[in-house]
Amino acid sequence: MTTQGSHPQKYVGARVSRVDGPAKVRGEATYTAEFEVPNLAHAVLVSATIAHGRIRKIGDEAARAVPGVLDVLSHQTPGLDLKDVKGYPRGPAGTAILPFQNGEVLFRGQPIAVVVAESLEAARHAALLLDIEYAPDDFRATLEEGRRGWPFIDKKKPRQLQHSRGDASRALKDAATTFEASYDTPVQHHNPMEMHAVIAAWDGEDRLTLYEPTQWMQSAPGVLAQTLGLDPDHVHVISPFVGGGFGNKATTWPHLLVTVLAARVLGRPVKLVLTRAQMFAAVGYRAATRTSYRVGLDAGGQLAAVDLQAESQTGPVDLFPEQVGNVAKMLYANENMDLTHTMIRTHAGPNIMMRAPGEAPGSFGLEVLMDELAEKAGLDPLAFRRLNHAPENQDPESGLPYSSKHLLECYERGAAAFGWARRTPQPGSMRDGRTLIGWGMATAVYPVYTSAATARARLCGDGRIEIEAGSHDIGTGTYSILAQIAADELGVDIGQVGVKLGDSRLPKNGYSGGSRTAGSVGSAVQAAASGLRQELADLALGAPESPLHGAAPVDLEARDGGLYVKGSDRGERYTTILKRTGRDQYDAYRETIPNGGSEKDLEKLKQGQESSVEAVTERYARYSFGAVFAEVRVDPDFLTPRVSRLVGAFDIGKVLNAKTAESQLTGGMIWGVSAALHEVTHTDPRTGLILNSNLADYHVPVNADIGEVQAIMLDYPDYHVSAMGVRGAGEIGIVGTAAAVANAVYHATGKRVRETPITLDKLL
Amino acid sequence: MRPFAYRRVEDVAGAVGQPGEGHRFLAGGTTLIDLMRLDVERPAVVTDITRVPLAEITEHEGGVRIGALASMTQVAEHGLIAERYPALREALLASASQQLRNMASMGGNVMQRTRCPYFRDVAFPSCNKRDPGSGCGARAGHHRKQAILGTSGACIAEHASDASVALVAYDAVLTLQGPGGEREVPLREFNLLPGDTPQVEHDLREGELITALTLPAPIARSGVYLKIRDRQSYEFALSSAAVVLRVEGGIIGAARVALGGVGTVPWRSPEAEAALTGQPATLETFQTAARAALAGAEPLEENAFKVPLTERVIVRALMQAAGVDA
Repeated sequence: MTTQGSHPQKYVGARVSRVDGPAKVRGEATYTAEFEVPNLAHAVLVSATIAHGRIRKIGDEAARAVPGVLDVLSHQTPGLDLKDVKGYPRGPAGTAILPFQNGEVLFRGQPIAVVVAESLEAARHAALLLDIEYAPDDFRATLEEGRRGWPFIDKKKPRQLQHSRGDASRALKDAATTFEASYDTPVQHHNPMEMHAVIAAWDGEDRLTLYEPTQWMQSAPGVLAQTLGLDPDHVHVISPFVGGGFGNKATTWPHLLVTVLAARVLGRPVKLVLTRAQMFAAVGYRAATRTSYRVGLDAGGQLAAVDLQAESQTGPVDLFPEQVGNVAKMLYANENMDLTHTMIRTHAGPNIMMRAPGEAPGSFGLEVLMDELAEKAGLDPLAFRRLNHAPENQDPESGLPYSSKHLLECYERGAAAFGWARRTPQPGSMRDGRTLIGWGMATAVYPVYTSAATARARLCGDGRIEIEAGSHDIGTGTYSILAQIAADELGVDIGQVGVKLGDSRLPKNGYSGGSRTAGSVGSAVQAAASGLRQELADLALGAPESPLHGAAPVDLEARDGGLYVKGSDRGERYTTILKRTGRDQYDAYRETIPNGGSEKDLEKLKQGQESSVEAVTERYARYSFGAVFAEVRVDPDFLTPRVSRLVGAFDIGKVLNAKTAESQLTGGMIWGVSAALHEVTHTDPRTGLILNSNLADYHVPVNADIGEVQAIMLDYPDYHVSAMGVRGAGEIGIVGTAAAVANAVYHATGKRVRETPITLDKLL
Repeated sequence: MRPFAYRRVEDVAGAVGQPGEGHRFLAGGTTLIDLMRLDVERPAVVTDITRVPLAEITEHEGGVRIGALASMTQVAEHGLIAERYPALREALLASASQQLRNMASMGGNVMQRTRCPYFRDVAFPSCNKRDPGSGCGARAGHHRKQAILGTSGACIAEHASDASVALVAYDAVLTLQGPGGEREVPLREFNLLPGDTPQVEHDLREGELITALTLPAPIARSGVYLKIRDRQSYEFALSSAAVVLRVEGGIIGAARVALGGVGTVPWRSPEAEAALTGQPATLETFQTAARAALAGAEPLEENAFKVPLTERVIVRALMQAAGVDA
């Protein structure tokens, strides 16, 4: 292969508007539920209205009598057997609880029946007519109830996550100052705008086409291989656009299996769209957590010991840990640490990753704690964090150097942009007229996850470039950044690049979660596009008819849709090179293994398994960092906290698209405000059912709740992660922000609220 | 949703002529359709009245007469309302969202049903309003947003309308047209306390249609609607107050105080009005009135905060109405 010279970066790093934006605005981007499939039947899912128990019977006579109803399926229907599957993180399913296998109800909202009809209206009507009798059993629907003892604790002990270093109990005894506090975060639901939806169409007995919005193209094929014995390559998943996922579209949920079974029984395609209320049931949630700290400080205010007892709720069968202890393990210099994380089972159903799982709720506790400790040490909250800063050459957890860490610069630039130096320390001391002003800050951190990736770059006969990757754009801007990378590598106008994502027949890629897609899939696209350029260069250099024949490869540059000798007109367009080959098109396919990974990761990827290189490799601890500063305004009578200003400074590696990256960061920060002040899923104590399963009662901020939001990006490439130096921007914005807001509320009011959301009733 | 018969009428006579069991009028649909989708409302017949000419807003004996099909937006933007009933305008603009206000009618707003989750979700077995005799889910369950005034053992469901709070403060009177003729009912009496029959919410007879809301001349043109909620828009009140004061020479000549987010009905407070009338317009008077308004409150654990919150809301609203600085 020829090595060659530079290719100027025109698009990478720039503020490029979404390439799929116009199609979305015009309604031309087709989302799952909008696909038109001939002979489609409509399914309506029926969910359990008890939290735990047994179904005595499902009477379906009245439902079947509704004109247009084709079938009613439930555990009473013979022939719906499914083989076992494992729930995430042990397997590709969201939960190991399979639909319709027996009459057991293990969680609220569990899918227990489906009505299929010629029309959606008939199916919805018939679903109301099912006569369901339950034999209810005791339940524990919340973390608080679960803590009092899971009924089956002897059979299935909650798993514990441990970390220990130094001698925390001794160091606590010797500490100059000690402090104890507990922090609580509630159940939250992802609530992407787009509902989960599935269209399942069988082709014979062993081939299936699935339309579904997914963050993990390979999840459904994997689950169907395990449960129905299908060849995963015979499951064609189509998912060009995803209207938000935030983690709940990363794994396969029971309703997908229900749709597949219904389509098989009926012998025709079936569509199922969840209702908003069902989005609160069997598609995961962020678990409630409690972090209980005992901390010792030395005389100078440095952390001497941290003892953290963490708890997170989980479902009745699966074990997905909301790892709230992760941030506390590594964020600050501290030699003595004990962490015990206990998982507590509940009948609230399977929980799953939700934007910055672990880090988001964990940073609420840790960063409010840091605010409290700073006050105890008599230090400014920012000065206290600087004092306890973990040096660049030593991650406190692993002892390894960081791959690239500019947290101190985040503090500096964030504080300067915010005006932090003007803060007066005394709570309630800053006012605007009668309005109380509070300023708070927090540190943000998010680990770097990467995956093996594959992509194909194609030169078409008309000079257009096609990029193919079986990855996903979940609203983050993947289409755009991949087009930017390809356009720069090949020296073409971005309008000449078409990106294809969201199809399982495209080159395989891992799931889009953990802020990994930009770096991982971006690397594969870069490799494929530069590979295409190099192969075309080889063809030109070797062709006597080409003006480039005999030129030195190192002198070439890609520009104007072709290859040219730098600083001259000597060269030719790609289409001319292609024509000479006699081919219609020319493809280059590439596979990439991220730094710290191995061939094994690529193999796992190709088999549709999760392929993930973790943050801490043999040589480096790889994290993104940030500092978030918040201003709240609080009416002194009504105690309604409103966030008037947010500034975040983030060290997230190389920024591929300043516009979409900024959008990810500010979107994350706004979600942090939401977590701090608004979001909570309420559970009825007597039934275990959810009380606010709609977007009127499940609060997220409206525009009027959000003031100025600024995200500063440091843009230092991290070459220990990948050749492009990208670390990802999707999640870090939410980390720390809730604590920054909570700390600002304390600064305004003098009231320390150690649970979210901080609503006025907790401040009055 | 269950199937239902749909008919559309062009005039009031057609609308009230064919009442029947399980009958509902459809205007903006922002409550009815929502509750039908939730299977809470199961009408057998829906009469679409959107073409009935009842959307006029006209001057009426120093006050204003609002056709029942006038949209919330129409009323909020009407010059007469801005001029004479500023608290109503503010209450309307603080309601729901622009899209909902464009759809929702004033008559429908008066008929708006509670947001109590135990009422709105048929999966909950206990709701006396939805299923008389089944118990009150909220009392023993989650009730942070539910009422503290006008509650009963059977029901603590809050009345969610903002506009109705201002309307009762302005002494609105409803015109009802039934098969047997027309009658007028003050809004204060139209909304019924839950008592032992929370399923009966209004003084509305079979087949009757609200045709108009009439506001008499206001006691003063300065009115305030103050609404406190969990977020800045698209959210119901945790506590709100509509107040109108006539102040002469520093003495309060007349007062109207109505509360939202705290009552099982839009809550007019004669206690607060009595404490204000004839007294100097001072912070102390306002505090006394606020305490009087909440004296009869029966809060539960989760909504106890509404007592001090509402006292503060009343005081602030009165100070604004009187032009008194904090």
